[in-house]
Amino acid sequence: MKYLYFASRNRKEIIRDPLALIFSILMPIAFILFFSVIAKNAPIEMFKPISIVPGLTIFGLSFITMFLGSLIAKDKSTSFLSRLFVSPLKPKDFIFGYILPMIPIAFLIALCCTLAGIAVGVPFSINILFVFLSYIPYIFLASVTGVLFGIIFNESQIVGFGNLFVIGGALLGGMWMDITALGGTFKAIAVSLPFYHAVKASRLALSGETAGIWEHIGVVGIYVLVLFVLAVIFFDRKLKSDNK
Amino acid sequence: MNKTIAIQTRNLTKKYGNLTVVDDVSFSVAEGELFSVLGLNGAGKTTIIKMLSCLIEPTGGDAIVLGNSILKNPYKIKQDINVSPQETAIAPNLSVYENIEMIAGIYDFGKTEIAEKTEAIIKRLKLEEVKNKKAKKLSGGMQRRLSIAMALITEPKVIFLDEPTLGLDVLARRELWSIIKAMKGKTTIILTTHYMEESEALSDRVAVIIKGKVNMIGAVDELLQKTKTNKLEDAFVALNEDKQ
Repeated sequence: MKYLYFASRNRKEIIRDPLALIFSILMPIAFILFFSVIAKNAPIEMFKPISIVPGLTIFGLSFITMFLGSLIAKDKSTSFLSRLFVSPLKPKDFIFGYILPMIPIAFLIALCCTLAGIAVGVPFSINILFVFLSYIPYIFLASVTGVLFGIIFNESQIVGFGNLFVIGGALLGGMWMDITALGGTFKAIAVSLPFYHAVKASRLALSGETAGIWEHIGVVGIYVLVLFVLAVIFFDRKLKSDNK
Repeated sequence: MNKTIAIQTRNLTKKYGNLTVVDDVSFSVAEGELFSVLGLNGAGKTTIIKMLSCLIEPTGGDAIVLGNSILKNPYKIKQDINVSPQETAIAPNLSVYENIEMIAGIYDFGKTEIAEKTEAIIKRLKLEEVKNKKAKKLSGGMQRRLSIAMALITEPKVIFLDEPTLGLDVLARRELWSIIKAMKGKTTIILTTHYMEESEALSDRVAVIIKGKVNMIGAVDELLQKTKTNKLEDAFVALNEDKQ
């Protein structure tokens, strides 16, 4: 269980530099409040709390990719990772050590967004529990992507690719818009990516239509598996690489 | 008296494309010996250390560290070695105590043992006054000391000190010398440094590396005799000028 000590370090590093964390909580909450005001004045189905809150929670969870990517890229640039590469930690220890502390942080983001959602009209019901469960695959997806970005890119590249993940994911996932409005090609791209399915699963869960969520969770799960394998391969390559 | 060999390199070679950085290097280091690897910038010192600490793989040859091949059993070696890299490589948002505790945890010590060892190393390296201070707030000298504490906490049989006193003032350097001297005999130490007086004061034996090759190996006195000089710095300059 050596990775638990490493995981504890990663949790402390993120929590003790809380600006990014605060930002990732406040930004989706601000959007939830903003869209709820629009929904009151213009009856747009997409902007209603039951639809917008799950989408914006997924948006908030996307910031995990930025946290992890930045932390790993920083660990590379300061040689901290090189020190750990001399230790008996194996690639899976590094990956679990980075991902594990993200889980409580992700639930904190989800909790804050849900509370904001309840405040603007999301009904308090058992469906909230289901929607939390539906977030789990996306939490792993955002975390594994963060590990992959961190190991591949440097600190300045992470800003660009991290933003691409957050904003691109928001647009192609239909987090605050209907992707059918994007037209055929864009819709086909959106449906082939995991963001749309993560949003769809959480919306269905919040509406109580739990039977329909599995196909969407399955798509996100496949992405998680593929990205996890890629993360192990890239970490292993980095461990053996001459350029650390 | 026959001493047990801790490290034996056999025709160790590292090439990057057509550039040979370490060229057919063979030497042995006895258990408990302090062995300095000296060379100009780019001579191949750090590459030798990286290969011996299983950070990078050689292109040719092999090295046996504590009875295990760096090619075949790197993880067995990693359990018994540690490194204090050129860069301090510490976790900036963790306290001194937490940094040391984390490394002990990664090397799989039990909880009670971790607490005891961490307290002991803090006392030994005179870090008591700053033990709860975040690593990023320490002076350069204290960060170096912490970096060495993080390497020593695992009680390695072999420790690699890559320019451990780089950028330190005279007093901080002398303090680190006394820490290194106290380790001699119990731990095998491989030291790289640009400070010749440091190597002269600390080393049992010295290897002078020029353009990736071992030019001369021996005790400081032997090197002085062979080069007909009075100081290691003069011997080092003479050897390098001969090869220019």
